[in-house]
Amino acid sequence: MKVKKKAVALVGIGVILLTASILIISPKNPPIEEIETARILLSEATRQRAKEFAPQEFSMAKEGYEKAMALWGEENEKFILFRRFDSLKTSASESAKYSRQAIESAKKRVNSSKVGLGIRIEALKKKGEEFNMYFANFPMSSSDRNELVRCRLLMNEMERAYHAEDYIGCKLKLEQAENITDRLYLKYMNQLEEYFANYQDWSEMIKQAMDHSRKNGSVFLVVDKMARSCLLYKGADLKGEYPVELGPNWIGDKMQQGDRRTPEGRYKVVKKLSNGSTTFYKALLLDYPNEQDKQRFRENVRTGRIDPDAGIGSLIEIHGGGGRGVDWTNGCVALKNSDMDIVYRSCSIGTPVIIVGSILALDQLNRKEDEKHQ
Amino acid sequence: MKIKFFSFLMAAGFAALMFSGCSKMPQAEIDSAKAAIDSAKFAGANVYLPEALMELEDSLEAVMVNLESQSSKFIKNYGEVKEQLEKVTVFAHEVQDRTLAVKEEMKAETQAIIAEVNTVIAENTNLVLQAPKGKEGTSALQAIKSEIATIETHVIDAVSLYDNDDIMGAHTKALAAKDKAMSINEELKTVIAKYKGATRK
Repeated sequence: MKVKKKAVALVGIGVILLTASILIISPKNPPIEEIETARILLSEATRQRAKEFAPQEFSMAKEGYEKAMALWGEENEKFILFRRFDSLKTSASESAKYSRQAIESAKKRVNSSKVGLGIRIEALKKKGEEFNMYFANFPMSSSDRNELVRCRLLMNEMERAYHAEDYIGCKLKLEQAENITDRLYLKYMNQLEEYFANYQDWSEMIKQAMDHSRKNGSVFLVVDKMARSCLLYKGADLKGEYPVELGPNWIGDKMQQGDRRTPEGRYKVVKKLSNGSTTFYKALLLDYPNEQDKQRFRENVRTGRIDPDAGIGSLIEIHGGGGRGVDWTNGCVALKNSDMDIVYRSCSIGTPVIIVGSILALDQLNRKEDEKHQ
Repeated sequence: MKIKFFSFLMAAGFAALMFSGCSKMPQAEIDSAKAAIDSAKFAGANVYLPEALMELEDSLEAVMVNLESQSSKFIKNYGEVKEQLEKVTVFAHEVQDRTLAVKEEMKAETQAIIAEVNTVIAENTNLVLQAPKGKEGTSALQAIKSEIATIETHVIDAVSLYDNDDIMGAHTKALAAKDKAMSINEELKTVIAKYKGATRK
């Protein structure tokens, strides 16, 4: 009996001591504070888009946190006295460190993306406006025109992505739009620069006409193809400026009949037509082809640039019926009827008509566009 | 007396040991919460309600920390964790429902925009027929026709994205096509009005 009592007492004391040791000896507590900090920082890094903008640091932060949680689970499986949380604490602290770095990097990169993309978008829009200024009426192949439309559609999508703060998506569209714009701009600017190699000749023709006009007090006309203007001068005084429409293939000098180009050079009015003798309200017939035109045409036939059966063309006029908003003539210069009344009245047989690519040099055109933007 | 006292102590000791393992891990609730979040993601929450999804995932992470914290204790009590997990599951279902609603709204809007663009394209094609012909603008009209064709291609791309469930992508493309189609529409109407004005004189 006494032995039984002693055994029960010993077992009871043993259980109590064991329980007490578990409660009192208290193994190290898990680093809850460090884990909670790591969790909050990782969440913040996600909100700051660190996954997109600081992927390396974010990945290390996430790995560290997942490792910490996995270690915690493993330690919790063990008997309470054998748990160790040192590695868990280290992983949590590492995760927090990388999250902080990721947050800082992401904030900087998001901001610099926003600013950088904003600048590039403005530059692209400006280039687009310049393109329109120079080339809106340029004869262009249909594939280039399609590319231009595609570029505008891309720019629309690009701006929507920018405003939605989808900077990665915006950048993709921007780069595609930039590639198209740069390619087309370069192609047509080269053509334009080649065209403006004639600027000195145009300038000289206008100067001579001006000198002649000063001497004999007569008027003369200048047709500025780039500006789509017909200018009425007396000496150096500009008496009037009237918008015009040309042939759709207006760049460059007329080569042959049917090329729908407005010729360039020194001409004069040889006939005045009105009152039903023209289908275009009123007309001033020019002396195209002049001697220079004929010489150039013969040279082009000789060198094979144009077909020997081609005609040089004729019946180039300044006439009414314009104001249609497109280049539509076969090479003539079309004015609105009301403007044609003034020009018709001011001119007589023999009035000089100088048709040039531009009265301004290419760099002057650039400056004019810059001034418009300021 | 002494036997009773020692028996009591032994029972108390055993009871303490028992308590240390008596609260069960709420595994079913954990699995339920995770499955609900996966459903929300599958519905497209990351695309249509990214903020809500972030909040949802944060909530689960916070609960998991609480869970492990309880698991670390000698006397565990998963009661509060269970409740939190149930709340996360309910929240996940709400996010899923809201995502599907937002997606349906966007689908309807995209379809409407595509239909509108197609109407404007048809109108533009008709306006091209009315625009100045012959030498009076043939080249310009050719250019406009090819622009219309490019927009049609863009609409086809938008429809393809829609069919592949990229509703956001389809929506953006459709809006871009609409803007361009409308600007051509305006351009054509202006040219036709000018042409009619010029030919009346």
